[in-house]
Amino acid sequence: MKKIKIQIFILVALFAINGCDVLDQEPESLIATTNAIQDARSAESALNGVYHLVQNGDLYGARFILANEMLAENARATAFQAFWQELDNGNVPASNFHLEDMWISAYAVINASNAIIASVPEIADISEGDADRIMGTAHFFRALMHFDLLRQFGEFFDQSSIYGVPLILTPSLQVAETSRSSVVDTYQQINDDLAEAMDRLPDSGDRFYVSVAVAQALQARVALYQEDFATAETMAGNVISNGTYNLSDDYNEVYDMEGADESIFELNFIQLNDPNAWALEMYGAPPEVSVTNDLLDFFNETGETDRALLFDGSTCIKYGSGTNEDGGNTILFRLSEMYLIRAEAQARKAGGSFSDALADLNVVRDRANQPDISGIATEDQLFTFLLNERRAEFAFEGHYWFDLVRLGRMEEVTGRAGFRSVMPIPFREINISDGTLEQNPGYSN
Amino acid sequence: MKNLLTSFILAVIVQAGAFAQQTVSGIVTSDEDDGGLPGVTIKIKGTDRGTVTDIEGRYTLPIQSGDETLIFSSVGMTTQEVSIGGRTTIDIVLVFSSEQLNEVIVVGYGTQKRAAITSSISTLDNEVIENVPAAYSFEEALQGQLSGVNITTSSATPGAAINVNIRGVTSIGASSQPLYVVDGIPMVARNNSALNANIQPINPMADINPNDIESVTVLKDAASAAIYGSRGANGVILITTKKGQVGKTKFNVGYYTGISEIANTPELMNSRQWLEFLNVAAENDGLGENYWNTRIADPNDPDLQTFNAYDEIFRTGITHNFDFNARGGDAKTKFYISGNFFDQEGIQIGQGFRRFSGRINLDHQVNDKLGFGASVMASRTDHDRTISEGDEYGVVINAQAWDPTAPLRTANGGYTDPFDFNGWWALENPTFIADQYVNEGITERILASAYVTYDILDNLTFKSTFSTDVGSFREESFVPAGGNQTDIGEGIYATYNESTFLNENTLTYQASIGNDHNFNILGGFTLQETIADFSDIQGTGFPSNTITSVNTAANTEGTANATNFGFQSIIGRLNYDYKGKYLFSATLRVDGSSRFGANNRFGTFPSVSAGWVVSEEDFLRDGLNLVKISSLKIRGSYGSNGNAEIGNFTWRGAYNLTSPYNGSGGTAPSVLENPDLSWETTTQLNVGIDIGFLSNRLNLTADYFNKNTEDLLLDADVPGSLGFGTISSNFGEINNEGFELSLGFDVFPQSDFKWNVNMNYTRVQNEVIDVVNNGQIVSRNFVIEEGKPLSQLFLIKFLGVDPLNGDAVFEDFNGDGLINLDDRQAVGSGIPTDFAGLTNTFNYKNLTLSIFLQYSGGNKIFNQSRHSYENFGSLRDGIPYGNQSIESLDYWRQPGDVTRIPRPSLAEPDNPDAQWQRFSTQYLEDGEFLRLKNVKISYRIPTSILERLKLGSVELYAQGRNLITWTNYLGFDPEVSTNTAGQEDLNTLQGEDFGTLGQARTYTFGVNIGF
Repeated sequence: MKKIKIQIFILVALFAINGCDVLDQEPESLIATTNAIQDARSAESALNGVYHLVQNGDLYGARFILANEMLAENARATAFQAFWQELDNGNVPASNFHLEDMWISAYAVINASNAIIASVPEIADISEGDADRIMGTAHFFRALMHFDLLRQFGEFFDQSSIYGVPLILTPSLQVAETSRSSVVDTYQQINDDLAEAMDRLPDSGDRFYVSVAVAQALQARVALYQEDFATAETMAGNVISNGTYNLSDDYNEVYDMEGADESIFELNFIQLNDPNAWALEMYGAPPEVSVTNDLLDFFNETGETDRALLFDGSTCIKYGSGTNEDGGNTILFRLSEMYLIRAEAQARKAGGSFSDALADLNVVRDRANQPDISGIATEDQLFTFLLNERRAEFAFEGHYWFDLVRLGRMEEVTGRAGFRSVMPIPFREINISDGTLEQNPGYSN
Repeated sequence: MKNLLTSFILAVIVQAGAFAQQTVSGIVTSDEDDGGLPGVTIKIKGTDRGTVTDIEGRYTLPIQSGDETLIFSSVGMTTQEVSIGGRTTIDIVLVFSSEQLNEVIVVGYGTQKRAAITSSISTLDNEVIENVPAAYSFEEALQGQLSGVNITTSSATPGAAINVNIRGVTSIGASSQPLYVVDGIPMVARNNSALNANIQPINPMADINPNDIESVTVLKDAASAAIYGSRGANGVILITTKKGQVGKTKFNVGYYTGISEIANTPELMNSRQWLEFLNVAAENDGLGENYWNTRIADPNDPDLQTFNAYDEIFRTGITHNFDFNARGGDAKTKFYISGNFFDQEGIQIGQGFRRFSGRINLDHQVNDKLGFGASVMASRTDHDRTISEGDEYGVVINAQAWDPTAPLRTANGGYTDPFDFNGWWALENPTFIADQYVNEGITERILASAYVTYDILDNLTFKSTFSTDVGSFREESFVPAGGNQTDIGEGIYATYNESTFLNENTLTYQASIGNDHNFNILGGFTLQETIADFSDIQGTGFPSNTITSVNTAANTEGTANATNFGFQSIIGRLNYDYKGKYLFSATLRVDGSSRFGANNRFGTFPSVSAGWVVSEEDFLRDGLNLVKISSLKIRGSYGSNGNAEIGNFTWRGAYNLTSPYNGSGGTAPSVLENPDLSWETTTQLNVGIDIGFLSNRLNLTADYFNKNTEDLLLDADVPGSLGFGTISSNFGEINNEGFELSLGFDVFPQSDFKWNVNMNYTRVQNEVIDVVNNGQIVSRNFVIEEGKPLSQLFLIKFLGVDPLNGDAVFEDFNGDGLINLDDRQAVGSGIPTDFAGLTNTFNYKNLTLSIFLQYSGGNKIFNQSRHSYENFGSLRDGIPYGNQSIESLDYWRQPGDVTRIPRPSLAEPDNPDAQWQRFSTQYLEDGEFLRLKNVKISYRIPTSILERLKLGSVELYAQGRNLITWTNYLGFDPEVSTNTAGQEDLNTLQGEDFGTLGQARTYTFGVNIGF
């Protein structure tokens, strides 16, 4: 009798144990890479993820912009972080933490875009319009990130240079190393992606999502950097004549209001836990990043009124003002840049003359209540006008450093050696690449 | 069979009684207390006749003519032979044997006689824990007591996590903390706090009342830990709680109170010294004489005050503890019931820890085959913590850098704002952080298990156990509005619920062939599933600074998530000995886990060990006796264990679902897949010797070990162009090699004055053999380099102060003409290589004094706190950096001065004149210390008085902890580590001190009453 009871007990125990397979566990907040993009809904979510990655604090969520403002001596480091002090100083070591993170973050956007580009054509139940918009957006972001990597780490100003950046065109499923492409090949890929994007994107006029005008605006910027002035002029002109985008009389409007008339594309931050870092970097006590006296003096000397309003003492309030705000949006493209691109392209294109820049230049100046420029005699003068205009118009928007580099004024303005025009490839990348990845000239490791 | 044997013995006794001519009777007592010893076996030498003492220790034994000698023996006591000599009453005092060779110790899934052990195991009984009252968790009491086990309390925060490394740090990316098993249940010992990472992590082991612990067993080598397979690589700590005992119900009530204070504070400048120092700096910078007199104050002003922030943040912390337990039972049912309340106030304002716990352990034997039992613990612990180590808003660091001319309180009792004063440092008033920032956590914990045992045959036992470990943790943090951190108030409410279900089934078979060949075979299988869910709600915009509940926040955002894992295992062990002389053991565990990649689901962990009890060899007996060796055993073991603390889903390639944009949900790539991901494998060789001299009064154990860990879990750097920074992978190799010695000596064993010495010493050399990215930088100040130990500090080398001009000189390691972080180099490890403990216990009649000294050394500490209070210069706008250590007074004054403190200057860091002191070896210090760790004096009230009071026992005691520390370290205390938030941090980031709260010196007074 007792034996039977024991046997029953053992049987029950074994049954209970067989009933649960404890080795098959499924995570609750992750989805397998292979199942991530399989229908229209999940493709849309993956596309949101790409935007989310672009919002990252290391990219357009603050630091990519602020780092270049610091290199351009518009911004300075005022707290602890050594990486800010290094960027402020300008002699940036290859181990700089920001560069290390920015590199990975930019390629994370490229990887997420590549996954969409590879997977969406396989989806059966998606409308052609949705597929085109999603694919076009992915091509756009892949172009944007390759371009940002190129201008940060590559010799983007020298078409004959071998120092472009690694081009990644397929999703990362296993560990692999990619070497750098030449500058011209990098530009070629960017332009190919932009052509694809312009072909597929809708002309929606949406400010928070990528539309065809956004791709045209990036194409205008890329062409300007590449000194393909004809394309730059055409593309900037396309955006200006689109009709959806207009310069407001009030310079501040685009910062005060989300999705203002002038805005072509801005990242819409709506939540505290959006990954942007504007408040973290600029509005803490003490702030990590403040405005330099050099920039404030420049505003004084040039008699800027409207465009200096967004500088409250040593704080730039284009992106908010306190640590507890979700922060103003990051504007990636706005119309005044298109005017300045067209101005420069017209003046510098084959057969153009310096004074061809005047009309568009003065459109931007008029809006800022600055007196018109009446004449431009030399290329040197043209560059000075362009640089001053760009510095005033886009202060703390991440343009001026690249303008200094591409117009050949970096050494003169900052007193730094010429090789520091491009940032070193992160030490971490060089260290693990076993020679596949070549450091930029001038940097020791 | 057994019944026959019993009848036979009974028959013999009855027969003997029939022929008895007389009897001997008496009482057997122990040397520890005056109570009678039940269960002592008394045999008449040369016969099979004998008896056992009753519950009160009394015996009566019939003897026959020709009987000459009685043998008194009991487990754990020294056997005594007494000649009868015609007496009819023989009272005997038995002495606890010092090296309890016959002692049965708890090993994984069973028990084993110490004499038969062939692996490396250390044990401690509850006496050691009782010697350290005022310990919030039992690991504190173990500190320095066990060879091979390095335990550090990295902060005086009550309830904070304690770092335990058994035979070195074995991992980089996974935990190196041991597996804790409480009465067979593997316990969750990981900090699950969701608050600011720079708050001391909580210690889940503090949920256990130390007074409930009967014994602690530490499994150190591969053979002993192999039964825990993929979780044994870091060693295993087995905790056995008190069980019921046959006999009259005994009650025990204990109370103590403790007084704690900060043991040491680094001295800072007073206002006058600071202002004079700043004036010198200003003069060096060409700003003229007495520059700061008009800007801050005149150093010679007789009314100049110094405000010492230490006085405001430290206090005398009071600890109360109340314990109650009852244990008793009869032959069928035994019970142990306890309750505990522990309340410890931190030595820094804002910190405290409380525990309420209760336990019932019940065992019932239905008949000679079937038994069952249950054990239930329920507890609640409250943690009050403050932002501290490693944070710029830490209490301690803001006190140390505080402008000494600035009061901490306004005239009407409010908090002053450091930005109204003259230090660039001090971001927030430290008293404001400690008083007004809230960081509270409450844990509720239930450990429960039920077992059934059934003797299928006399020597074949089946045991099945069902257990759960349920923990619920909720936390609240609040940063009030009005400080420098936020204008509107920020709060967090977080929860973490985790529960483990465990089922273990074992069969144990015991057999002897002709008394010479003894076998003990264990087989079994186990299943475990752990599920956890956690949530985190963040709020901003609080209408009040007093109501901190997150539901009052204007904006809230929340997340909730869950995770889980499972284990399925088969275990087996064979112990064999031949005549107790030749010992052999083999163990195997096969573990399957959901944590392991699809290609590596199951891992097999085998081990073997063998021993030779030399002293049992008759042909050597005489020789050994000559050199006073009473016992000698040589043993060796070899095997492999795993470390499965690799994260639950780290192997799977995955998208996260938490990448929204513009209000719509989004997904993004988050993990690069590695289907080959597996456990880390540690292979360990152990060779040891146990020697007893002088009838085992002096016992020496020595072990050599070589522990090699391969397939390290590593977030290996991958090319960033993949869009990922790292991949979880198994690569690399770490070695820990060393030896351990422990010694116990009963100097005067059997007299009114007893003196006992216990000593242990360990040396462990850690070395990184192979890593995927040699030279990988971790955090800012550490690197992983092959050929060097882990937690390798990575700093710019400070070459000293140029005697000609007083400039700080640093080594331009990469030769690029600039001094920056690219000039860092490996400068030493933060992991101690040598540690030791020495306990002297003196006993005179009812008075006991124990003195415990602890030593640790061989490590470096990067005292980053000094980067705040021994770092002059000005970051921006000419504001001085902050208060200075008085060490800075030894600054360079004139050409020819040789000093380590450069010429004072307030120049900004990129100014060539700057004396801005970098993250350099300037702040690198030696971590060696010797500490008078624990002194306890206790007095047992004599039986004569107790009988009048009708009490069983009364013990009064006083104890002091951390009484004296001898060290050259300049910070609060050398037992520090800032980076303790994750258990992985303790592998690679040990030995950094940034605002760590130093150790507390504690005096405790208590009483234990038994009745």
